[in-house]
Amino acid sequence: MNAYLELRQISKFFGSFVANDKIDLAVKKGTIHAIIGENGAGKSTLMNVLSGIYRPDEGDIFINGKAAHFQNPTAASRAGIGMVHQEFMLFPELSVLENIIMGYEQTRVPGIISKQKSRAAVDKICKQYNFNVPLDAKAGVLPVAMLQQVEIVKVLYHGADIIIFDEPTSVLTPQGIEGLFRAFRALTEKGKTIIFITHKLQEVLAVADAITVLKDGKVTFNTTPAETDEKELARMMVGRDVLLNAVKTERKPGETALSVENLTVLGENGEAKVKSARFSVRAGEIVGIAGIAGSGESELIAALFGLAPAASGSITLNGKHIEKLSPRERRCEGIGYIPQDRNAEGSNRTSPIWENCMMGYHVAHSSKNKIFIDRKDIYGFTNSVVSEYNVKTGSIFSNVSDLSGGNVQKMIVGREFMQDNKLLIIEDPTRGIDIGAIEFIWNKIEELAASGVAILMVSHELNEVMEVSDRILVMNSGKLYDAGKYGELTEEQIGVLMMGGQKE
Amino acid sequence: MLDTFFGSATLAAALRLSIPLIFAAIGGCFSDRAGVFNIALECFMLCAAFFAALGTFFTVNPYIGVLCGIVAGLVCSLIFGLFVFHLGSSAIVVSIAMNLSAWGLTTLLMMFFWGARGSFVSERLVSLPSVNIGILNELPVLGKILGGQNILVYIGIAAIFVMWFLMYKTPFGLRLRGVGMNQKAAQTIGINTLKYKWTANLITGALCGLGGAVLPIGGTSIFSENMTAGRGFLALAALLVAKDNPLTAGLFCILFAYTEALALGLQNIGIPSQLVETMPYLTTILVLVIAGIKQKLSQGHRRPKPAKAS
Repeated sequence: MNAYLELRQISKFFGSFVANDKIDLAVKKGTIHAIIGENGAGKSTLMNVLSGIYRPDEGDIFINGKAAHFQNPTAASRAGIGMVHQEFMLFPELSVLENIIMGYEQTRVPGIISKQKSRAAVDKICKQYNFNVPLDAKAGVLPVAMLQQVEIVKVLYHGADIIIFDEPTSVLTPQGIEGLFRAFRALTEKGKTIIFITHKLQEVLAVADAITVLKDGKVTFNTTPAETDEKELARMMVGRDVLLNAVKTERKPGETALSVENLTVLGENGEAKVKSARFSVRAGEIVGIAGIAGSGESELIAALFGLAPAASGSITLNGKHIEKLSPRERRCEGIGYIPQDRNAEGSNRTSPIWENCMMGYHVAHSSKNKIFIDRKDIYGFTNSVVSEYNVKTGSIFSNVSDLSGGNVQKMIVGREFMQDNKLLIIEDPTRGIDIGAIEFIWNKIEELAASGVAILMVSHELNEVMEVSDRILVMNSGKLYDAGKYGELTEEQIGVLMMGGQKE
Repeated sequence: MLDTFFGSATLAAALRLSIPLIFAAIGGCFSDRAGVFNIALECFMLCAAFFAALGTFFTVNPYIGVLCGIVAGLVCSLIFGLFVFHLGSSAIVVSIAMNLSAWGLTTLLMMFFWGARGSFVSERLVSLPSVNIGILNELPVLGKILGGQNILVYIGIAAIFVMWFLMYKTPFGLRLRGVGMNQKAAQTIGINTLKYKWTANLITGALCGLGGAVLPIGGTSIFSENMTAGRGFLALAALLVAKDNPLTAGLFCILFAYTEALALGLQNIGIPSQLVETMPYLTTILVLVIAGIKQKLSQGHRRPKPAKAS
């Protein structure tokens, strides 16, 4: 069969920077074609070219043998290309139905939306592809897995034949990922073509029909799952051999550092989000909590760091009660915190690196001068963060917004890790960053534990929890469950616990 | 006493006084929905009020005055849009500058054209005639309130419903709300967000123009310095509390206007005017406080939801 979608010699420049360098890509109809590469390899640029957001500087796009030039996203959409963005493109306060029909409303009288007609059209698509989305619910209240389905229904409603998925699995549980892959297969069976962008190699090998590797804006490798393995793909992506597992060393955990008893935290509407949580973390121990988004894990972390009040229960650090302390006071007690969202909570994108490194540091660790900034001290600290944690930047005076995602994360991790903390609370330390950087951060967590720091990590990547933690806890509907020591349970067994013990 | 509160004279006055607020508030709903925070409604209204008076003065035709008011409102929104959408100025800074300039400009022009200070009265400043819609006048009780008002009163009430329909039942309204809610998402489905923002801005300008025009020629036949006296901000309060729903915003405007009408009535029965004149503003503060408390309660302990990683 000939290629349904073909890119020939596509190049895209941003100033002197070559984001895409003469890329050739041939995608067959009805297949799942994976495109992998590190951040900055040019995947997003290529997809933006394909979906009409950017125009290529050189090269041509052919659909079904015909040349296609997209002036804007609408043109690409008319040509049958739809994209499910990593960051969902939804309107939280509108209903699911309104989200789907936005821009493509059905009318009976011109200028007036016909809800019935729109609904019938959407229903038809849902039936055809076996999606079950609540059309009348507000989009903002739905779980992410459901929002993703809404996005898929939306691009189908727009008439897409080629659907691009940008990192679709990063927000899903193992079961959710299985569901997505089932949807992939249902779509390809009906003749749709899928382009799947990811950096997770196991998924690519499990689901793709063809694989293209991008590195530094160029296609470096074309293959199929049958002909390759994880190691080879990682090497082609990074350009060197990468360890895909965390290196775990023998450590002897010390005294109990963090101890939580009967902790209950209430949510927005007064319902218990964390229900009588009870656990402890010892010095030099890494405890990982796995839970899907919304299982109460973010409320638990908020209460531990003082961002939300505890309704009842106690939190002690080295025997001292801290449940009444403010985040600032908890920092002074030796608690470091790496929030889940590096842009919204972990850093201030519009201020320079040194100011970002000062955040939190000055409260608990900086010198005595409480009125003026001790520039010598803070520049010294910032320089050591930048060099120890390989933050790639020209200067500590550059704004954080100039750094790539992985480098921002390294800066935040460095800032928290290089303070003399007793306990570190870490949320999703490697979310959306390259495998090279993931390896680096995992190693640093291990090093820190070896130096006697207690570490509590919450991650939405089950794989990460399983690789890094000494002890695993699972959170489901506000309750914590023991999921054994490192390597004790399989991914499926933990997945079942995360879903509340219901077997599929 | 009861008559002061619920008499048909007070209610009819409330209806008449609510019209400028209603036009400005429902106009403002559209800008705000499109994600443009326009606090220059006061300027739009004041300029419209002046030019409506000026147009009427020269032509002795209040309908031409209304037209001049609309044009003045549109010109104000053109200036606002030029600065905010094309020159990248902050909407708030532009609004403040425009509000202050409008006061100065209209006062200056008053001197220039009429040589008047404070307020200007002339027999050439003809008000809109009252319209008699047969059925309305004959209604028991309501007839005295609804009947015999000027044409803009009826248009204003109708506008509430028309604009509500436009916002919630048409593709234009849906997309406009989408633009304000998540601009990037709107762009990815090919919506020209700038076009929607401009349209909303012009709607705001035209409606504020109508609202402003009512002030000098909606019955009073007078133009005075700073004639709007904060009505643009009252309208802003109404639309913010109503969360940009034209129906609710209209109701709040009627409430605010009722207190204003009541203030007039209470003055007549001997309560100090300094006191009663604060009533509309006090009511506004009260409504804002209640709305604020309600919102706070419904949120509870909310940890800011992190945005999705990019």
